[in-house]
Amino acid sequence: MNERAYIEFKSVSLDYSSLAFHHSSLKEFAVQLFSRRPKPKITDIHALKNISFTIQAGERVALLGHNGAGKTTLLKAAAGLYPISGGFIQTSGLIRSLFEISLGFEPEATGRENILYRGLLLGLKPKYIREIEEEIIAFADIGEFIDYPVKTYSTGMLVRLAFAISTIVPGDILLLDEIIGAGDAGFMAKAKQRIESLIAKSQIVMLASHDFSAVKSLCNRAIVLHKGEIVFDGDVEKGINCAKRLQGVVQ
Amino acid sequence: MNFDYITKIYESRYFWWHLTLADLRAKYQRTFFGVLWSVFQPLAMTLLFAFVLMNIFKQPVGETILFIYSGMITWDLIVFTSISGSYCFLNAAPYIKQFPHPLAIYPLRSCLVGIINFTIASVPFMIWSLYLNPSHILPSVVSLPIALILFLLLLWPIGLFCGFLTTIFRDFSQLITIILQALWFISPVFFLPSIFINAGIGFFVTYNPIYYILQLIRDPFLEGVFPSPLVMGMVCGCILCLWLIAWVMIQRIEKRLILYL
Repeated sequence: MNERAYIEFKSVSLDYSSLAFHHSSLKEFAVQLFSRRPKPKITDIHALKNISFTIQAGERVALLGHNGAGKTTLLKAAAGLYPISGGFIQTSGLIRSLFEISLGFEPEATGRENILYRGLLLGLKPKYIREIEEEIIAFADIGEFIDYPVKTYSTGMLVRLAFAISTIVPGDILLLDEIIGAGDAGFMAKAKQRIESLIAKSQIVMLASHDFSAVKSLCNRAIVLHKGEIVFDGDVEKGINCAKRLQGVVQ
Repeated sequence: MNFDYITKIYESRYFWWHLTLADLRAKYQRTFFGVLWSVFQPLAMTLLFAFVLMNIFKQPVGETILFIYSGMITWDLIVFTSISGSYCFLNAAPYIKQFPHPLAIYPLRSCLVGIINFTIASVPFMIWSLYLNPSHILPSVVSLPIALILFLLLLWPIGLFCGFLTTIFRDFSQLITIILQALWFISPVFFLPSIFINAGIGFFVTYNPIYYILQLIRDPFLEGVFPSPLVMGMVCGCILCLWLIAWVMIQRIEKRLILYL
């Protein structure tokens, strides 16, 4: 664990180049040649524009805003996954992020083997993973299926296993894209408890969410994003009101 | 490639090594012969090729069969690494989107699977050639681990190169099979170098890196000599050039690649 964790964004911009998601095929080219309809113009997306903030240890920050406002992009940039086009990001502390956790299983490998691979992905050592293996299996509660290939699992079982592994170790900085809802009511309650304990153990939490009641109970600061820009940074209650106004929920 | 990048590759060693083992297990899972298919496949293809040469083209085969076998397994390694390397980032997209490990570990995974398969496939070749020429044992035993390391250093940047290009230009994965096929025709993989020289196209041997790569195995096992300084120089030169290209690609593309997945 780091002494004092922090996240600093200074004038950060992030563009998705249109080259990355717009591909022309020969078929499209031929159709376009004989079509009278104008071709839709695909341009670069400015997902984050001139974002600046500092988050210190002890802060639990909610990222609020419409779908497509830039919340997930901001989290992924903070995690070091997305390349920024301008400005700089500085972080101190071990980052744990929970993004798309139900993806990335080796389908032919058993649940037990996948615990190892997922743990290694998170940077854990094989010896430590073996020590916590039984705890993960007990939490995921998938019984004897743990020794079956994960391709035989239902979606709910996969999410439970992924959640159990990904949340087993805390970090200094916790980045959450929505509070994960997984499995049946019993598991949901366990998952909520696990998330709360992770939050309690982390120095900094950033939570992108549309669940205002969860935000109210977990966070002490809100950043509201709109079209890639920060439109509010401060108190949670005021942040929620601002987000609601932007979403047209209240006038 | 800076030192920090290499350190990160080392730090994630458990991850890529276990994924390599998972790939090997998945490859032969639920097959009766398991890993022995690594041996059967090139052996059967070599025997088939020898049969065609002898009975259809009326060519003497003799010890040429070992030449063919060495070409078969080395060529299989090059093809496997290039093609599986092409898809390495697309297949690893769920991992890449969750954790910022250095991207070079994903073609390394493909490359290691290929090299482990190659090592298993080369066992009958080694036994066969050393049975025929026991005096070749010293250069063979000394040269083999060096050859394996050089193969790794050579094929890793090729996998990286193919992976980057396929992720950005998806057509490249189709193009690479044509490029490899063309390379096969102009390289002494199955056909003796003398055939190229006698046909007046010796430059396909002299200036062909594939020839020198194949000699890393053929010189010690078939000729009983250590690979010549020319062979080592050409292979090391290729490694340097390929890593230079890979380094430029890592610097320019690595960070943005996630946006193409």
